[in-house]
Amino acid sequence: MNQSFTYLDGGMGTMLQSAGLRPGDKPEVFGMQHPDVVRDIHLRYIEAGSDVIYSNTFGVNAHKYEGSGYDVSEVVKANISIAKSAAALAPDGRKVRVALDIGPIGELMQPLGTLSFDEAYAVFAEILTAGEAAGADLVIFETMTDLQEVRAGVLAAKESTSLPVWVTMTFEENGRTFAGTDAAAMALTLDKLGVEAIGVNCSLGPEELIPIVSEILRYTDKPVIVKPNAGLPDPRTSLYAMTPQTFARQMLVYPEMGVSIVGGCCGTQPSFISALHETFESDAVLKTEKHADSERMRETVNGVCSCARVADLDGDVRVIGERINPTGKKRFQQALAEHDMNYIMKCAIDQTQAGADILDINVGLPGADEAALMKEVVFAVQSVTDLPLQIDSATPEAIEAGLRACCGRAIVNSVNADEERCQQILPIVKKYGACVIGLALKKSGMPQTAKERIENVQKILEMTDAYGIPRQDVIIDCLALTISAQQEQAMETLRAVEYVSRDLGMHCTLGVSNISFGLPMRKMATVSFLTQAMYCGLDLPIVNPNQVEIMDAVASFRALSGQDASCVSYIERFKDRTDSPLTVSAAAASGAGAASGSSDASGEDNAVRSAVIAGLSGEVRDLTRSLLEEKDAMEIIEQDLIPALDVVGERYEKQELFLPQLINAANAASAGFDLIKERISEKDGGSISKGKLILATVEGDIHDIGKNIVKVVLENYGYTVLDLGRDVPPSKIVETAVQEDIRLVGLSALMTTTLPAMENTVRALKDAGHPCSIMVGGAVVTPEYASSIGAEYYARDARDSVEIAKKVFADE
Amino acid sequence: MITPKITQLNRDLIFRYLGFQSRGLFDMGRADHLSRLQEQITRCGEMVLSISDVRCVYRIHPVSSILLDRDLEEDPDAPSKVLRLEGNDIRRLLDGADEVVLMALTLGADLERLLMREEVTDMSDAMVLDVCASAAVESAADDFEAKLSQELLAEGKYLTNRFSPGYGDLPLHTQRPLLSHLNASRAIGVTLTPTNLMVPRKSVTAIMGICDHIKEQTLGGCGSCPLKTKCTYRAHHMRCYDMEQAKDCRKQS
Repeated sequence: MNQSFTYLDGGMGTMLQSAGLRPGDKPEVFGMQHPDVVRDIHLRYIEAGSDVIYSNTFGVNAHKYEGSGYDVSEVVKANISIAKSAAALAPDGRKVRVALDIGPIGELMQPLGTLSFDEAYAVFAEILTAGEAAGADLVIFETMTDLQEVRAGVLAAKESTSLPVWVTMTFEENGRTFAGTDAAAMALTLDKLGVEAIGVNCSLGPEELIPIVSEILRYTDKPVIVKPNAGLPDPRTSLYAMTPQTFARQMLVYPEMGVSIVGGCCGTQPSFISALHETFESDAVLKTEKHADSERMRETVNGVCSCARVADLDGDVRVIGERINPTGKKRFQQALAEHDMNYIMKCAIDQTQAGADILDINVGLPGADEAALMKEVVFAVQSVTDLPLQIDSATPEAIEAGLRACCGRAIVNSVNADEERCQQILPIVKKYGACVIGLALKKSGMPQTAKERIENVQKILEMTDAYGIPRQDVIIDCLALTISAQQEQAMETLRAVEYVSRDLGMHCTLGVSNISFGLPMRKMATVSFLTQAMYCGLDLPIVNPNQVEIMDAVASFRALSGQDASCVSYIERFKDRTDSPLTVSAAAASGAGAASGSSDASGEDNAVRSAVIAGLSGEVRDLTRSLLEEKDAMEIIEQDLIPALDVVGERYEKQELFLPQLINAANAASAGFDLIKERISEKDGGSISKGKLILATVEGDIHDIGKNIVKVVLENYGYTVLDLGRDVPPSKIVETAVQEDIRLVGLSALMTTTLPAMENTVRALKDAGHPCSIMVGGAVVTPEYASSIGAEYYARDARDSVEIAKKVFADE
Repeated sequence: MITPKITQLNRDLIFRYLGFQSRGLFDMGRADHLSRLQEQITRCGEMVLSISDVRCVYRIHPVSSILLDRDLEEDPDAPSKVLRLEGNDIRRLLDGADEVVLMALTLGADLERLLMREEVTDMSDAMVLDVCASAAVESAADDFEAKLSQELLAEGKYLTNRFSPGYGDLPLHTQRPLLSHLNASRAIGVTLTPTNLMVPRKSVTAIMGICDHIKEQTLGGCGSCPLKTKCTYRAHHMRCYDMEQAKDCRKQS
């Protein structure tokens, strides 16, 4: 018996249907009621040559079985027993393994859907524990489309069972799943997470899957699974027309590529598995030379990733954005303290648009629960960017929380040459399969020379080796120190970078901007040092990507070093730029022109006011900046910004303006507010808030654009909005209202079906006895309904909510 | 197999979605504001068109395979069928029809992510994008309907109006068995939240009858609409179903 291939089974659903399963019935319950039928199907696959059979448990989970009257564990156990009884009957005493088959839960995960990571984890843990107890030999997650859901399942499997874990996901022709997971990112993430076999099922036919499978093979050297459909279904009948022989012939390409586990999905039957078996086992060439060769030659690419994007760590320069970090940034600290995720998400989007390849996430704030904050920020950032992340913290708990939440493969920042630190952090790095930064220093003191740095590196490598972390996953930071204090260090750093990169062949990172701390015109020194360091082998610089000069230097270096083949990216970046600084002043001039133009047209004599009314953010910012030199901040708010918003509001009332225009004006005003807020918080940490209120879209509702519009407008009138998001349970709203001593709560619901949740929330707030007013709004809410459920105010639209807030906070 | 496309983004509809159905296009505010809004709509509309990935799944069954209220009235123990559709509206819709079309369609998850991102960076654009996306999903559904009509016409058959769970007295929870029957999560990536809302949000389901004659259109009328007390169309003596392209005003319920 040749052991180089493992044969799986084929389709189950259609065979159950032809054995009497009716539409709408649960296949797993059908199995419990007709064990002989299911056992017979398993046996037919075993006779056809299957080495691994999938239990009839694909659709059983607590969410799909809610209200069905059946217990998930019992259904799982019964169906595993059926599969085991079939495996025991395998001819010639062949060893046939039973895979606990787990399909998607059936709901989309956050942020697009409402299913949380922890919920998904619990749903999977229940199935897994039951499956292992019933004697499954391994677990297969199949037909998955969301990498984050898979991660919840894999972690549940690793933490609550000792079963080997296999995963196959389902891709479309574009190489991605419906949920947006990319094949390379999936392979990389799951390989590093310790999944034993990785691949694809369902999706398409064998031929159409070739590009997707080759992408997977580039990023993992684990056994790869291919379990395709019997070609593409006939568009009219939805039936599969491919013959077993054609299927087997098309599959022949896979052993050569390096695939070792094969089977069939929709439209395949036992005859397909027999054909596959015969074709593969009879082809002596494939069996021996080619297949063995391809197994030996499989070299994979290293990298880090999100669910949708891989950054290869191949020595080319990849920029790590440093901006998500509260150190020395009052405004960022405030955002963290207030859980203002929008501010942080904006930081992520800005850096993504500026061209960062990876984002560093640091949320260290004295007195805060850093682990909880890390989880919250990682989820928020990943909802708006597809860049891979670097989890940056001093505490092991926050690092683990970040790695657990992060969909994809991350970098950990950082360990150093201290044993204690390594003992705390490296097991976590190992568990999640992350990359790790090693700082070339130790507790006893800063290294003074390149040699001392390299000694520290050796010490770090002893420890990462001991934990089995491959050297390609270790990134060395040779420490950039400011030349204003330790001038001689810059060259020592570069010498160490050169050694680590050239002689040790390892990746290097540096917090580049440290080099110029305390100097005027910092970016000159920073950019110059960056360029020299990249020449010495720095491939993962941690920088501020929003600084054009920094990214210009990276683009130039990539072109000069040949990383940017044919200078394509360089040309793209610079083709419309001119040397002259005219562009800046020209833009300013045209901006000013527009402002005066609109002020003429609107009959406003105040420049800031007309800029707000016209919705010109850039101008409002510039004008506010110059006004701040002659006027008090509060005066600008009271005399310029708010009156302008009032004019816009009135015109909107009179239906002279559309809602997007109202929002544009609000956004423009916010440019002014933000500047003032920054100034005030820099000066004395004070705040200009006119009052703090809660906004939330009620439980069960996911339509939150209306709530978000209200938020933007209220914020721009100077109110502090605690945005609890969408699908918010009443308990969370009550808890926050009490904790933060909130006087006004705004609730939104768009659907008649979620109105009861609004009523429940109002009741919960009243029952809690917390003194606050409640305003409600949303497409289906009426003033009558509002008063019938006990809400104090009905807000017709965003403008109305401002009037309500004014009233509520004036009464204070 | 019909593969629907977004054929157009109806500007009139977009303006109505923005909340100004009561006024003509040209007496709304000053010209400079309006032209900026027009530009914004053009820009956002292009973004929606380029990021949408229209996917559609449908099946056609004999009406006899659907369990209607009248079947249960005749025989309270009637056996289960492909799908149960409750209420008078759907019964009226399928009255005289031989077959029923069950369809689900989505613009995909990438659009959903764009909307999310834009709500962080620019709420005004987010709103216009949202409205353009609603117009786009409507256009794709219309295109499906038009293409299917065309095919049927060749066989001398006609489509009834388009109906969806949540319209009239057909309960929203019908989405669950309907999408499950269409295998929509596997086929086009559409799933439901526990409260029966579709994710991605810019998705539609539709139920239509196929007749061998042109049927006088029978919608439930405003009386059965959950929005009747606050419908802005009604407030201005208009009817959403009178308006070309504006049929989905009630989808919100």
